[in-house]
Amino acid sequence: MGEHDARRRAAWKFVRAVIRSQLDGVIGAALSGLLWQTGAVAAPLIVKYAIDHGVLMQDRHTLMLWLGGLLAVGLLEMTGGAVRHLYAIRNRARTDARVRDAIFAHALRLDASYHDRVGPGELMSRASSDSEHVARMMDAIGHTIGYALTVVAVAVVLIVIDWRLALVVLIPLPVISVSAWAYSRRYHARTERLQESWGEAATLVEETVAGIRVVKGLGAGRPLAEQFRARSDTIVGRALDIARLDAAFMPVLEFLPLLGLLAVLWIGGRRVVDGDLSYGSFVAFNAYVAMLVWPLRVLGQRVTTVQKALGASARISEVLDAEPQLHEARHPLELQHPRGAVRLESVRFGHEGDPPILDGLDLEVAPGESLALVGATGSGKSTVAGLLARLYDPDGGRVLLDGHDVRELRLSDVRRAVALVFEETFLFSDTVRENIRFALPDADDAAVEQAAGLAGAAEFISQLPEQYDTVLGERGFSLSGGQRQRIAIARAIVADPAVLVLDDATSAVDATKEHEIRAALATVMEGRTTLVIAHRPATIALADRVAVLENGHIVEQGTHAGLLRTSGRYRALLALEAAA
Amino acid sequence: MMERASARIVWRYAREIARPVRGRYIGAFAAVVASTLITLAGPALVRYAVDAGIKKHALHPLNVAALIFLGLALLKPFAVRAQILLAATAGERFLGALRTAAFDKLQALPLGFFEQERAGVLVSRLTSDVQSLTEFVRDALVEVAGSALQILLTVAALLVLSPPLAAVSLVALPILVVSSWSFHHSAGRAYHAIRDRVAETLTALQEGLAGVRVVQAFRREKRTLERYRPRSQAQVSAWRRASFVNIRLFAVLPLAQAAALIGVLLVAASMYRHGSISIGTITAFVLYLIQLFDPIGRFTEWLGDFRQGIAALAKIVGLLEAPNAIVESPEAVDLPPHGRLVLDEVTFGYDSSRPVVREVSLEIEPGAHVALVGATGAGKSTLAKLLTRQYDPRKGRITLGGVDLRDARLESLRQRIVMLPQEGHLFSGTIAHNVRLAQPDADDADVRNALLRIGALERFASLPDGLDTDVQTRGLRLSAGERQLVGIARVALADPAVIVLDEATSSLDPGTEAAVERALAAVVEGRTVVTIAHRLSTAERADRVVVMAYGRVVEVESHNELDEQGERYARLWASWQAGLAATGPT
Repeated sequence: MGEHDARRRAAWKFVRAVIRSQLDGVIGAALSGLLWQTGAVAAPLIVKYAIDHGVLMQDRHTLMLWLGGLLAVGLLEMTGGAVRHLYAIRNRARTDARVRDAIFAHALRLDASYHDRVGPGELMSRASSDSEHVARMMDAIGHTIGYALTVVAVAVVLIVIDWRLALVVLIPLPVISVSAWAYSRRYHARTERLQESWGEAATLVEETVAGIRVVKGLGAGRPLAEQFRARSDTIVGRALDIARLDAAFMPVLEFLPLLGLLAVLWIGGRRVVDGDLSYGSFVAFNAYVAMLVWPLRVLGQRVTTVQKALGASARISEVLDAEPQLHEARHPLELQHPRGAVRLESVRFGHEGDPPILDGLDLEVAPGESLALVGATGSGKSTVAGLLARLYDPDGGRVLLDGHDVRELRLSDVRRAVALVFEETFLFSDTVRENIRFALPDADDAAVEQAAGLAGAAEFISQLPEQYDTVLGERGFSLSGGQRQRIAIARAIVADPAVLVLDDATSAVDATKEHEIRAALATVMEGRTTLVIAHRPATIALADRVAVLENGHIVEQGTHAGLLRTSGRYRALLALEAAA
Repeated sequence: MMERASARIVWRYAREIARPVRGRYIGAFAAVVASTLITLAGPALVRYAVDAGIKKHALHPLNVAALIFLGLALLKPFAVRAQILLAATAGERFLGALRTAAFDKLQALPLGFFEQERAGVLVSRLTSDVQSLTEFVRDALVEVAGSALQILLTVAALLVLSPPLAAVSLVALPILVVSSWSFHHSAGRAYHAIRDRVAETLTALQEGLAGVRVVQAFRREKRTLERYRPRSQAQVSAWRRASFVNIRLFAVLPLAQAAALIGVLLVAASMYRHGSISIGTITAFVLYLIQLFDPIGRFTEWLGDFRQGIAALAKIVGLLEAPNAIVESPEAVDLPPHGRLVLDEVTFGYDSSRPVVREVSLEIEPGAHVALVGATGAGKSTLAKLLTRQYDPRKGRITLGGVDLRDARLESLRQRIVMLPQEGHLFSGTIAHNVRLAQPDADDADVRNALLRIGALERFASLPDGLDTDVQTRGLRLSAGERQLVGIARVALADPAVIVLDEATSSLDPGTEAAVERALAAVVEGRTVVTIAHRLSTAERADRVVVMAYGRVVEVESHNELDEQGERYARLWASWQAGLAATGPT
């Protein structure tokens, strides 16, 4: 319950912030909504006067006057309605964009450990589907205020005409609205659940599309379709849960004005017969109570719109309130010209609940030196890479760059100093050129081509349909894994970092091709601090020194040749015992 | 590329998908008609009460009218309730059927489609586009009917009350016609633009989020946002353009209403002067005329939803209409459990004028292991796609145990012939869930067995949560080698006759590498295997080596024979050996 209340509070806070951020739009919509409904409420009154004083009195002049008034009111309603609509759509589109932009911007700030947990499908669903609910609420503001005005105006007119009859007609109104608000709170939780199932469906679509080769190759299409059907059915079920609330709630709202009409007809009618109420008042009551039907219905719907927006807002603020685990120091040190001295001191790191991956790791790489980090799968080599670029912070110990704890340095300086080439290559839907100069958009073509050459990518790029202007997809337009890795290496070379981390970066490059780019890699590594995570002995041999990672710390260090001679463990790790 | 479908095709699909819920839609329409009639009965009852009761000071008719009114009022909530439930059920089921059809379609589309179409666009088709249809299929469709009925009955009442005045009120017509013509002229384009902008925004989002690690590592957060913002803004602009189209339609309504009222009152005044109309008739006529514009207003607002819905539907139908790579023949048969795999003069090109695979003929005995080698672009991968029937050959045929793959039931084909790609893509969920990806009915024992057979059980079972370990997004908790092991376990569980193996080029650490090798050796045992070999050591172990160049098979021999006499192959092999020698460990 406590958590539920906290979510509600967070949701309210978010909704208030959205309204505040668009106060001009809200006020514009409200004013034009007032204008619009003023016209709508006034028109019947003017018609009544035109009939009474113009048509009945056969007074042409008065008639023309009232008809002129009618035209003016029509124009007023038209203008108010048009402006209200423009504001409504503007508020809607802007809210949608603001929520989406905020989620995206915040997600880019959140660190790797968050993205390990929450996938792109889930975040996208909040940035599109949940934001839509908040946007709808903002869309409805002008409408809602206009209709609320109608209800108030009608109530006032009725009370002026005959307060006793008005009271009978209007008494259920406050009762219903209070209970409606209380009842509508149920929409909140149900909307959250519906949105949750949308998120799950979006995640499955996203993962299926991303892994379509595996899915098709394995013939997993049918079982996945079954899974999707189940998630789709959940959406249907939860949407219908909400519809059942509608079905309990909306009929009451439709019934209420009918009771008012009945009261007018029966009580009012009897009083007319008794001579207690004028016939004109009776007619006016009928007309005005009939005017309540549609606004009350819309107002009832709006109550649910707000509650749905709150449900969606709870999910949105869940993302926006997530704090990055990584914080830049309040007064970060600048690192203008990094030398590339890397040092890890008794570093501990682990995923929550699991035994630590790194446990007291000490490692030092001198500026310009290259070190190969060798260890079995799961020994934490990639974690070391992530720690160096400060994608993660250690649970204990320190990571030092040029003698400074990376947590004290400006984050962007750390990431400029350390370039990471991941094993899993991600290319953006853009040209080869843009992908290569991703880290340095101002790099000129010569720099791009030089980097491509060093990474051993120039040759295949020249064979692409439009060479450097060929547009790649996320999964790389029919490029092989090795070709994509070579583009990723070129991307890191363009960044010209002080520290280069190659995390299994040539793993998908053909052994024959790796032979070709090995010489190039040697050039890149020269004079640059380099951490190489690799398994092929030939690649490891490129490094000045080798460190062996086991059980979370460094167990042996030395040169490749030296370790080969002296360490059985090293030979075993490289599975060379049998080969040798 | 995905096109938006023409209106005719959109309707055909809509009717098809709506068929199972047609009854509910009809029920919802009936409920709307009932509640509209109840609403319209109100004024009639009041009239009766006034004319027969109040004017004559008779209480009985008043009581009768009130009693009937009460009865109708009591019925109304039930009609509304029925309408809400029926329309919601029909609408939500329609949307459910639509998105599952779209998801099923993903499986039928050729792989090339996924290389051209960005993931974000596809995700937006199945989520945002479907969702934006909600209003349309649940409320608009039904409410439009109610509004239309109300308009018709009101117009009828106007005609009955006074044909001349009804004719006069037609002055509003030109205004309505011009504005709705102008609306329809531009609405389609405006709403299609919105759907396109939505897809573009989601694509930018999807890419930024999927590649967030690279973005952060190269501190390109700002630039990524800068590149995304214009798209997000373009979506806002598209909405604004649509809002200017919308107001052409319904902002004009009050003006039309005022024009009609002015015309009617002017004529009515002169008719009244000539004594050809009663004041009661004038009052009633004017009241009905005012009432008429209410449903017209709602009708036009629903029309906005309608146009938006049609636009979204057209996008989804555009996806459904994209040509499939392959179709199941109506007389399809099961593939035999074993048999010889034969390629007979197979020619294929993604583009018919440029064949990538040319007149390839091969016979592979059951249980034989064949390695495909050749330079990048020689046609190895394409041949693999043909063997797993991702595409059909343009000429020639591929048979397994004498059955042409084109004549095979797709399900049995996917069961007999599987492709094991190099990347081990994981879905969020547990390890066990991932292993049984293609065999959801497999129980825990089957999963353990499959892992045991490939020698990977202990590795995963020893994790703190064992096989129930959550792999997290994209399997980041598992290493590349472990992801491959999961991929191999999937194949072991699928138990196919033919494995097409896109050999992992990635070098794992030798320990894991050995585990993966052992797993592969276990899973290929006794099955026909075609390997796209990236390492010549793989070729060395194969029974036969097929060397491809420029789409053709240039040499087929066993490794040793090739080594002795083959030209291209010998060259490849020599350079591999040289590479090892130059930088190798010893």
